[in-house]
Amino acid sequence: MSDFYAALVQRADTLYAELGSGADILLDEARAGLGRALLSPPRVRDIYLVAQR
Amino acid sequence: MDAQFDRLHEAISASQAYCAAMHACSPTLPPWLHPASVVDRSDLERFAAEMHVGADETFVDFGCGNGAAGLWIAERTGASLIGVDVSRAAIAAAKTIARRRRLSSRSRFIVADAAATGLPGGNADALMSLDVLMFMEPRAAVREMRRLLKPQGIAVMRTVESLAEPFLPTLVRDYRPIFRDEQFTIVHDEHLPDHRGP
Repeated sequence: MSDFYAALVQRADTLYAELGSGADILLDEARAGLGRALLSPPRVRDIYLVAQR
Repeated sequence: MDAQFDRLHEAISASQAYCAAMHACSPTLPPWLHPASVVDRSDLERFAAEMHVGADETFVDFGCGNGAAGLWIAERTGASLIGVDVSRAAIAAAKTIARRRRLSSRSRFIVADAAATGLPGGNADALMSLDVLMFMEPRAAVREMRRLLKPQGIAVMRTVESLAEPFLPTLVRDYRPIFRDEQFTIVHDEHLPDHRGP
């Protein structure tokens, strides 16, 4: 996910050109995500779950 | 929260730069597919295989966003799709993508809260939820999943669990007891090495 956040931040100028202030929600989340990715130990983990009714 | 998801999906739908960033990280995705979280083709293939749906069967995409992930699976399997999301902007985008993919006759998208979709119960052969369960009140969402599924129906999910003090009120440390409390059997659970969620 941090690669994706970094790819978004690298495109910040293009995002602002496309979306104006609408880019803020994408870039704020990307920057927050990059910050969270540096936390040690991590605060979350991904789980893949299959459940049957 | 709903307004925030609307702004997010409006931005995703309007941005070529977002698509470029997504496809730079997930080069195996079809060019028309740009979900709100990082997914690659193998993730979608895995969801399709685990749900085991085919023609004349129906699956629900629970928190479908712009619907593209579910539409890709519907296109590949021949199954019908019902997408549910709280965001009006996401559902509008999903309907547009369904038209472009010529899947409108096999897909339906509704704006609804995950805890109370208003859909008839016991009609879904399978259900998927990709990187959104952590934003939903967990017990109400799992209860609604159970209500929607036919007996023996399969739910396939990727979500986030908290390892520390949750930074979202809806985050939990372990989803498995919640599913067991709602009379689900856990078929498979796996903690993934690469974090992709929020």
